Amino acid sequence: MDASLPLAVERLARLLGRLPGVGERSAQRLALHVLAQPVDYAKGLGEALAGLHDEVHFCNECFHLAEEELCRICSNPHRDPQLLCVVEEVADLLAIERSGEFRGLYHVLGGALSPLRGVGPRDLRFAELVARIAAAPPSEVIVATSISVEGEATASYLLGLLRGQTIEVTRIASGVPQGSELEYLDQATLGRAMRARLPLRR
Amino acid sequence: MPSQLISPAVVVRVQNYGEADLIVALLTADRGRLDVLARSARSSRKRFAGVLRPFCQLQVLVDLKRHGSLATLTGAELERDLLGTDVEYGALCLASYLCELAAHVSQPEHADPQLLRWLTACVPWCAGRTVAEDLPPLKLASEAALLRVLGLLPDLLICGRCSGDVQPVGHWDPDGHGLLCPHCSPTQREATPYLVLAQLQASVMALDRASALLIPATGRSLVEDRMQRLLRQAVPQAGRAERALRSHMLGLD
Repeated sequence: MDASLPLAVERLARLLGRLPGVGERSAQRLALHVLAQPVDYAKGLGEALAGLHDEVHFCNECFHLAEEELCRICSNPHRDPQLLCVVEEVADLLAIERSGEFRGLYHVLGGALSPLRGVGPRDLRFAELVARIAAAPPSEVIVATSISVEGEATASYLLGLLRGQTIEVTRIASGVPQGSELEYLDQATLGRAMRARLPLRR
Repeated sequence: MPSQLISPAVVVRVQNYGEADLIVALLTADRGRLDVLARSARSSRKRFAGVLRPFCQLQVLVDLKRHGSLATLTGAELERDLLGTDVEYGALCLASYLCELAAHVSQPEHADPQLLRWLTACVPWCAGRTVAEDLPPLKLASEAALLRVLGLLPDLLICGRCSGDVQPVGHWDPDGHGLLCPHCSPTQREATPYLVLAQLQASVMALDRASALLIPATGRSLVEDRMQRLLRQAVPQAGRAERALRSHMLGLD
């Protein structure tokens, strides 16, 4: 940090520098930018940051971010409760929402099983999911964990938990991304796409 | 000293670093465990083509000139995905445990092709649909095979005192020096059936899954305990994956 800067600016820059994607120089630039704005902006920014942890918590049902007991998705009467999509993280939920293809409900596990990282079944929200399904069984559970060995192991573990229930458990498809050229695809993705090929419908 | 390394390697651990980079722990044939920085590996899939995942066997190109404390990975080509993606949680625990063991016992800057061979042979045992009953014999066989690579595995068929066969049972030497035949064992305690020992020995020599699965379940617990004790000499503390595997095998998940 620059010793010639006032301590308040340096402190702000140090805090901003801990944000993902913000390096030391960018943090300093951002701090100076905030300083150059009208004072109301800095106050508003400060209040928004200070209120974040008080006003936002996890949804009681799906563990998405919420301001009330239920998140906006769980409290929306137009969502289809028969479809339940299981994702690893809130960011995955947001990505699926952006696709505009899903009108059901979600369950955020909080990660994927990863023995190398010390993440086991008890670290994720499997128990809450099983309890939720027992209380209000959907007709289909869509497992949208990542297409990686951890994501697949998580999906497989979940399948084991739901075994014996009359719920259809499906897995999101994986393979060639829209608009991509095959020659530039990595071997793993292309190999998986070949294995998971679909019949061509006439 | 050459500034570049081209070597077969297996990814044993991956860790996010900064916004777009990865720190990748490799077990290489030529230099043992090597932690490398893979720049922009998370922001661009083109550069490393999505191969910087645990359990991938690669041909790597490493710039050994250190930037900070790490060498830089400049190229990686997939030779084989040792585990695949279609894997049960228990099998993932076992494969992770094997990578953890390899990372722990490998000596940095020390060529160890035998250790790499052990890892590339044993991790694929976990691929595909592995039922829970398969995990204990696969774990036992892979641990025994690692102990052999490390030079810590006692002869499982020959008496450590008279060099005779240990048939019909091998008695574990109370002094911890391996197995004794019934005639040489002072206590006649801690006996493991010869069949268990012979099949374990065969699986260690063959390093294949089918041999490992033939290790009988009856009379196996004592040899499992002894292998663990021997392994503790090389890996004093259980790592995360070992704890996860143990918890899974005890049905505590």
